[in-house]
Amino acid sequence: MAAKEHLRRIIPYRKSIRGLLLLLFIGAVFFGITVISKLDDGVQKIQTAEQSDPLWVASQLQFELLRLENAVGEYALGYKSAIDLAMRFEIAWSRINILQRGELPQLIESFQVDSDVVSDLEATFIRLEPVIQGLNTDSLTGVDRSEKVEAILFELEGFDLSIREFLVTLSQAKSKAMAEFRSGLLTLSDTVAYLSATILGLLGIFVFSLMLELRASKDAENEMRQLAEEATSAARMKMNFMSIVSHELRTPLTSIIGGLALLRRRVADTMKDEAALKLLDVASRNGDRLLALVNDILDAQALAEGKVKADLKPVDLNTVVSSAVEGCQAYGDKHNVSYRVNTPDEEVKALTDSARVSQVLANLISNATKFTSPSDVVEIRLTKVDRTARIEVTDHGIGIPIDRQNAIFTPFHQVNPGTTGATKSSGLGLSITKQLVDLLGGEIGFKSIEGSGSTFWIELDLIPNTPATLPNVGSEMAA
Amino acid sequence: MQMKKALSTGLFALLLAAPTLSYAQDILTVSTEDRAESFTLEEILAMPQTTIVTKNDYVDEATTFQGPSLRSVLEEMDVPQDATLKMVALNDFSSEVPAADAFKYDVILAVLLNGETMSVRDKGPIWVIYPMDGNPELHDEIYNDRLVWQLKSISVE
Repeated sequence: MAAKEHLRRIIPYRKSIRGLLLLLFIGAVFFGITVISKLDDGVQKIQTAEQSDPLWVASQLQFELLRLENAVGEYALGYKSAIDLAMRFEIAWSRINILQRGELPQLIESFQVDSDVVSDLEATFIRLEPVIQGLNTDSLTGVDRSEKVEAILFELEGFDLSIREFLVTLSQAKSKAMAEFRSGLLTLSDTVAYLSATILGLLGIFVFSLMLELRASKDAENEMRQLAEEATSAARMKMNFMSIVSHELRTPLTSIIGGLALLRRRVADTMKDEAALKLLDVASRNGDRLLALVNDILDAQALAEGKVKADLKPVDLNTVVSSAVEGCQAYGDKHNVSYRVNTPDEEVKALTDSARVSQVLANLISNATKFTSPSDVVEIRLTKVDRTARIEVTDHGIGIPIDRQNAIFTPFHQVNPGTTGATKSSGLGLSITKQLVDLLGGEIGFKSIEGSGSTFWIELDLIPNTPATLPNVGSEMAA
Repeated sequence: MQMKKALSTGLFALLLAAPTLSYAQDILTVSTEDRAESFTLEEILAMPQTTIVTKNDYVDEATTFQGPSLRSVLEEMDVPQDATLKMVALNDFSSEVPAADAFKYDVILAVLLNGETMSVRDKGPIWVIYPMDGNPELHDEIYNDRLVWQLKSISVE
């Protein structure tokens, strides 16, 4: 009970704690995902920056521009042909294009670097294109050449510096991005540390609550076990007490009963006082009943402790049934009840303990005698059903109410206990009977209609017939 | 003399404006220890063409590239799979590429971009292209460096 109380107290609180833990866990997981995706973004950006390094591409542009200027000078001096110069011009132009297509413009934009210088340079190249084309003719005089070269160099002047500036800004922006990424990484590592701490903490709480629960359930279990032990030990003590009392009672009871019998025989002829004789009979009858009760209690105790052993032997149940009925004859006469026995003509052999079967039958027959209506006939029928022997004891008495039928074989159970002197008993009889039948490996049951009587039956396994074909089989095998 | 001048002027103009027409000029040299072969644009266009549609860091969107597969060129020259190729560009940039790439992926020597030849200023006339779309492992700096543009020679080492 206390354990149940404890659990009832713990359950709602446990549920809310679990909900809270779950929420915290979900929160932590989402937080973790955010952190990781942030980290991933940073890595991606750095990777792109590393992969198509704008610094490298821009420096290549600067380099190609210098080579172009150089080529222009060499052309002026006659060291280089116009075709070679045109090729340098093309290559330098390709460098401009690379900075303007694909990933690079986006990357430069993300660095927030002004790339106007590149488009300015492109515009200049577009302006220079016809001039460069115009160089490839023999009609140019030396003066024309140097004029044109001067014009080209004039156009390109200044880009050297501005591209260098562009490069510097780009490299600053890139290192800034790297620095940001690194510091971001540091913050993230702090965050990750907090996150791990949180998760560890949650785990701790979870384990702790689990332990609490475990302990609560263990406590509850212990309590239950203790209660069960107390209950069984109380029952055992009760049984022990009764068995001791019974033992102690049996010796004086036997003396009293024996004494009463002797007294009755001695005074029977001489005593004229009928009333006194009747009193002696009453004393004697009640002594017998008391002894039967004491014996029942001792039997029940012995059965409960497993002290009763069945001595199994092949027995013809016909004999057992008739001797059991004979044994009850005196009891039947006393109650003005007669017995009708129905047995088959053939042998009914079972491997069983005849003494125990007799005890069982005596119990059933005396019960039937006790509860049937006066001057009635109790029927005892032995039949063979397939491979089992079935013994039925039928009375026409008060029957068993339906609501009592379940408990009929439990100890100390009686229908109408103690209402009439004639039916008074310990309530142990059927319980003992059931335990004996169980001991013999049989079945016991009943069918009862309240007011019109009951039929109690037991079933015992028959000894299987020795197959007549066996020797033949043996000889066949031998042959 | 006059004739030659006119010819070279014309050639020059073509080289700048429409390199598509600059036939008869060797644009690629492939050399091994034993032999060297040169190809004109016309010859390259006459080889079996492989088409790759892919994006890379230097184009704005998925683009159709066309040209002979590097594998076929290497097989033609009996280049072993474990060789290293030195790819040199017009601006003397060079990149070392394992020949195995060509056998593992459909690497092409692209001469056509969206069906048109490429001028030098647009990374032509030959651009080494890896099929990056569909091969995520190629999205790496190492492979980015192998996208040699303005390719002029391949030498086997």
